[in-house]
Amino acid sequence: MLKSKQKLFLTGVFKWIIALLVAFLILFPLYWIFISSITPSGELFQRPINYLPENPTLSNYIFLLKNVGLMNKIISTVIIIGITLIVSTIVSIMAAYAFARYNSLGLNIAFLFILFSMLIPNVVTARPLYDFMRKVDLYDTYPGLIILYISQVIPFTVLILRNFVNNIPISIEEAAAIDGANFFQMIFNIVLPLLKPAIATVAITNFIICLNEFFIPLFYANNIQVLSTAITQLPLQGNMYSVPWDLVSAMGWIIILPIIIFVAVFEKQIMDGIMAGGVKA
Amino acid sequence: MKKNNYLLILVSITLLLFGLSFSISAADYDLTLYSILTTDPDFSDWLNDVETATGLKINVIAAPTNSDTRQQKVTTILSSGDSSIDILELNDEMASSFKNSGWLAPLQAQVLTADILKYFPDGYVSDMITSRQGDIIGVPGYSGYLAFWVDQQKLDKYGFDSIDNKEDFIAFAKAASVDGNYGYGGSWERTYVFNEIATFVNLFGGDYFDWTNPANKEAIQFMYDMVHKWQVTPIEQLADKYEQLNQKFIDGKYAMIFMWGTGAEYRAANRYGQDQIHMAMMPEFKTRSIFTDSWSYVLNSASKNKEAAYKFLRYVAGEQGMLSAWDNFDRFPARSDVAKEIPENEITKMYQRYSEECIVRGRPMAPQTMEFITQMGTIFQQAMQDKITIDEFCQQAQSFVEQYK
Repeated sequence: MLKSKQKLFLTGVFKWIIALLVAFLILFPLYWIFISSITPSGELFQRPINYLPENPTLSNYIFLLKNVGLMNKIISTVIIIGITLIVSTIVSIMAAYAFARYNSLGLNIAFLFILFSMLIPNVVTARPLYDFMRKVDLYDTYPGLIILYISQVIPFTVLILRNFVNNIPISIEEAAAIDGANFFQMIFNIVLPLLKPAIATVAITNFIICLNEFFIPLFYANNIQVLSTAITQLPLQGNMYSVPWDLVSAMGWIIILPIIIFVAVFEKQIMDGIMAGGVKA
Repeated sequence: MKKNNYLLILVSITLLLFGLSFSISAADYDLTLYSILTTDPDFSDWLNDVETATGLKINVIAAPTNSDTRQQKVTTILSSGDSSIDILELNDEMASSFKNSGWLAPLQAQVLTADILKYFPDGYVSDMITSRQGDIIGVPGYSGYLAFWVDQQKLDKYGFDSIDNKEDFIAFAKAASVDGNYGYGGSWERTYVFNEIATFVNLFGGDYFDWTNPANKEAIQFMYDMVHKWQVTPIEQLADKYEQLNQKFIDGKYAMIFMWGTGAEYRAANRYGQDQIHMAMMPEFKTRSIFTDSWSYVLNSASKNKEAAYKFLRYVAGEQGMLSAWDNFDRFPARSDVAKEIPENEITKMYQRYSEECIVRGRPMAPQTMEFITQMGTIFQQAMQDKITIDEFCQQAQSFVEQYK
C-alpha cells in the first residue's frame, strides 16, 4: 500500500505531466508559427526539421509592415470591434434581463430562436444575406459589418448574461421596488452593478470572437479590410501557385498576438465569468 | 454609470456610424479593380503607370490570394450581378469555370481586336479564354510556363550536357538516383499532380481529354515506371505540393523537376544560376510540348463603367501595359511582339525558345475545374499505389472527362 505522502506525490507528478502535455499541445503550434515567421523561405520545409532556424530573420514582419497596409486594417478592426462590443453588450443585457425575469411562450420561443441561430453555419445564409446587404446599401459599409458582427455575438452573450441574471436573487430587486425604485433604477442601479463581472467576461470573449471573425469581413466587404482577412491577401512569391508560408506565419502572429495578450491579462475574469454563467440555465 | 452616459454612448455610436457610412459612399472612382497583386511591393508603381497612361482613377480591392477563398468570393460577386467591381484578375481555373457563364463581357470587339489578338498565344487564347460562343473574355496579363528545371551540379556530376529526349531523361534520372536522392521530383498531391500528368501526356503526344488514346496510357505507365520499375522518383511525393517539391530540389534531393515561375525560390536560397539550378529546354519525347499559364483581366458583365473598363483593358493589352507589368512584377509579356522588346537574360531567352521551339498549350481544364482536377488526381494516386491498374485508371479517367467536360 502506498503511503499517503507517496500518493500525494504521485498525484502531483501525474497532474504535472497532464498539464505539461496539454500546454505542449497548445503552445507548440504557436511556437511553430513563430519559428516559421522568422525562417527564410528557402529553409521552411527542410528535412530534418530545424526547430530553431539557422538564419533567423525579421524580414517577413518588415515586409508586412511596409506592404499590406496594416495600420488601415488595425483602425478598421478597432472601429468595428469597439462598436460591436458596446452595442451588443447593451442589447444583450436588456434581452438577457427580459428572458431571465419574464416568462411567456413568446419569450421562450424567441430565446430558442436566438439559440438556434448559433447553430446555423455562416455559409448557409451567405448568398441571400449578400443580396440583402447590397439591396439595402449596407454591403461594404461599417454599419453593415457592425450589424453582422453584432448578430454573430449576441446569441452567446445573451445566453451567458441570462444565466448570470438568473443567479441574482429577485428579492434584491423586490426590496428596491419596495424602497420606491422604478424599473430603470432597478436595472441601472441594482442589476447592472451586479452584472459587471459577467459583462467583463462577455466583452473579453466577444473581443476574441470578433478579432478572429473571418467570414463576415471577407464576404460582406471589399474596401473595408480588417486584420483577420489580411492573412489571405499576401503576395504570391516565386510562382503563382505556391503559398508564402513565411509571410502567412508572420501575419498569423500579428493577428494572434493581441488575443494572447488579452487572454493572459484577463484570464481570471474569463474563467470566472464562464464558470459562473454556465452553472445553470 | 449614469443613465445619461448610456444615452450619450448610443448617440455617439449612431453619429459615428452615420459618418462612417457617408465617408465610404463619398469615394469617387472611374473603375474598381479586383486584384491579387495589391500587396506586391511594386503594385503602387504599376498602378501609377496605369492611371497616368489612361487618365483613370482606379479603386483597388485586394483579392484573396488563397485559391478556395478567392473562388468563393469571385463566384458570389459575378453570379449575384454585383456591379461594384468592374475588372477582375482570374487565373486559368477560374477563367475555365466562368468563361461560358455569361458573367464576363466579350472583349473581341472593343479590346482584343484582330490586329492585337495576333500577338497573343493562339493555343492559350482558344483553350482558356474563349467561350463556347466564340467570345474572348479575358486579356492575358503575362505568359508563364511550366518549365523544365535542372540541377547543373548533378548534370556535371553524372556527365550529362543536356536532357534532350526521353532516353536522356531516363538515363539522367537513373544516374542521379543514388545516396537517397532521386533523379526526378514531382508534386503529386492530388490537386497538384494534374499539371504533371498533363505534361507527360503532351510529351507522349496524347490528348488529355481522350483516355482511349494509347499515348495517354504510355504517359501514365512512364510515371508508374519512374516510381516502381526504375525507382527514380519517390512514392512519398504523393503528399507533396510545390513548397515541399521546391525545398527538396533546393536541398539536392532531386535532379530535375517541372515548375512554374522564374526561380525566385532558388534565388532566395542561393541555389539559382547556370552552375546550379536553372531553367532548361523541354526534352522531346514524342513531342516537345509545354504548358503556358496566365492570369487574365476580365470585365464583369454587370459593370456600369464599361467605357472606363475598356480603356483599362486596352492599356493592359497594349505594349505599354505589358512592359509596365514586366518592369514592376517581372511578368513575361503575353504578347510575342512585346516579348522581343524586353532586355535579354537567361529567363527571357529560354521563354523565347519555349515559345518558338515548343508546342505551347493551355492546360486542359473543364468548367468544373477543381472537381475534375481532384478526381483525376485521386485515381492517379491510386494507380501509383497499385490500388488500381493503369488500364483501370484510363477507363476511370475517360469517364471523368465525359462527366466534367
